[in-house]
Amino acid sequence: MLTYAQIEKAILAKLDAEGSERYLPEQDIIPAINAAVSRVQAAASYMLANRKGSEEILRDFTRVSIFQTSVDGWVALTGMGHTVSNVVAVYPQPDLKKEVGSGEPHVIVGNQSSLYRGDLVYLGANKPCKRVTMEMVPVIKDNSIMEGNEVTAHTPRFQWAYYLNQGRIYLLPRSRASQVFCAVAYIENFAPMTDTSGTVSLPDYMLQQLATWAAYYVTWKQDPSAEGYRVIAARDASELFGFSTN
Amino acid sequence: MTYRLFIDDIRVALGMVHDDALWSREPILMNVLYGLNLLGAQDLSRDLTTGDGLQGMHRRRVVCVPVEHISGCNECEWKHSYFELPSETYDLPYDGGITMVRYGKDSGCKPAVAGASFTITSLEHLSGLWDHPYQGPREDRPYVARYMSEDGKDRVGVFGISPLVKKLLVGVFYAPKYETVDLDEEIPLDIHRLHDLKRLVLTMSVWPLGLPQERYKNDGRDFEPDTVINTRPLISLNDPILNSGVKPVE
Repeated sequence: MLTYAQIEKAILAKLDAEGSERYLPEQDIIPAINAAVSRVQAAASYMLANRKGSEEILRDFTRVSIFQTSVDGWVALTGMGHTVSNVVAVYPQPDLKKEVGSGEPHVIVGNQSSLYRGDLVYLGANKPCKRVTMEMVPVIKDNSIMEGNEVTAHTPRFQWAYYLNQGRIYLLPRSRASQVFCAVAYIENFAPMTDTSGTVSLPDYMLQQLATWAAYYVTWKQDPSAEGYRVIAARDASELFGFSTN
Repeated sequence: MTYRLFIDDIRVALGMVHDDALWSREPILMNVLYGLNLLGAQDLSRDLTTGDGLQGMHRRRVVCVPVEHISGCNECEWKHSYFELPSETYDLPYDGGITMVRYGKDSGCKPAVAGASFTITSLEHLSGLWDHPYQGPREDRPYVARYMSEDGKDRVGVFGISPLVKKLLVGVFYAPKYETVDLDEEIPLDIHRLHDLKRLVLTMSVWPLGLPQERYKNDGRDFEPDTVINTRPLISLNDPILNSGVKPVE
């Protein structure tokens, strides 16, 4: 968790503007921080979509929440108090325990729709669940080799898969996915910082990186040839995630 | 060694151990069965040519099957009984995947014929023997022949037995069926041939490892200009694995 005060201090130090009023919080620094954070988010999503890196790179950004699926086998990613930028992994039927108290069995609550289960704590995954695309679903359905198929759905060898659509996670095979527990590992959609008491849910080690990018955004306005923008676009992809954007 | 253990070893060898891996247990299992059946047919062929019958022990299963009786149709008096094959079998020369058929303890046959041996043959041969006084099918001289029924079932016709016989003891050359394989079952293969099996599966893995989907860009490009393509070592038809088990017929 990074606070505004930490980031501002780092930015002003890089610009050698400590104690001056050349850069103002609302006008310069907060928008620059938000721009830097949004590029972290974009780069992470891009990386997942293109399989150009490992989920391990995103480990420090990743959160895990427990849901129960709807009767139709989907999960709406709501109820956690923040929105989701991208899903890293889904684990159906994970090991769970109650957050408060012990020894009580965790039970599915009667509910047509999916439900965020903040009362349960994730202990560990049990079965792999492959990420597929919506276009693959009809192909998967009757192919017994592919994860998420319905052919083996009611045999001991059935396999899970999931796909994302319209902010929902759809579990496959659908005939097994009704009203089950499901752990979702995801990257939070960082809310924009609005004032100087705000924070960003990025790990502490990203302070200098974030401040560097924010400083670039601050100084971009002083760069008439916009050369700084090209540098930022190339660097935020390669420095943080070690991949190329082309 | 169980299927699970063997497959997990291959997954680790290929680095396919994350949840989005292209090759998971199921496709590897399918490829294990391809290789297993190839090696199994070799071992059984060697049995047939050497006659010692010791190599294919993992593939012989003895099961008790229910028998149905057909009293013939309007056009012919082709009375016989049949049972459906209890598993997939190896199709081998001479025996049609069946190693033996016998009356069992609860078959319901007369005691006088309980020890009769069933001759495995084909419908063509049987047709020629049908009315033969000394060779035609009888309770103490039954015949067995495989055929496909009109509804596509893989049937084994049993000729000459009494309609009162309801069960038979059948030995088949059993081939594991993908749909019903339990990953915790032992692989039906001699342990010294597991290495051959692993090599066969790894050879087939060149396809998932070399597929374009791992290289494609979003705009549809595949290879970059001047990319050097390394061809993968494919197994030869003359590979020792594929020929080691079979000896020429003497």
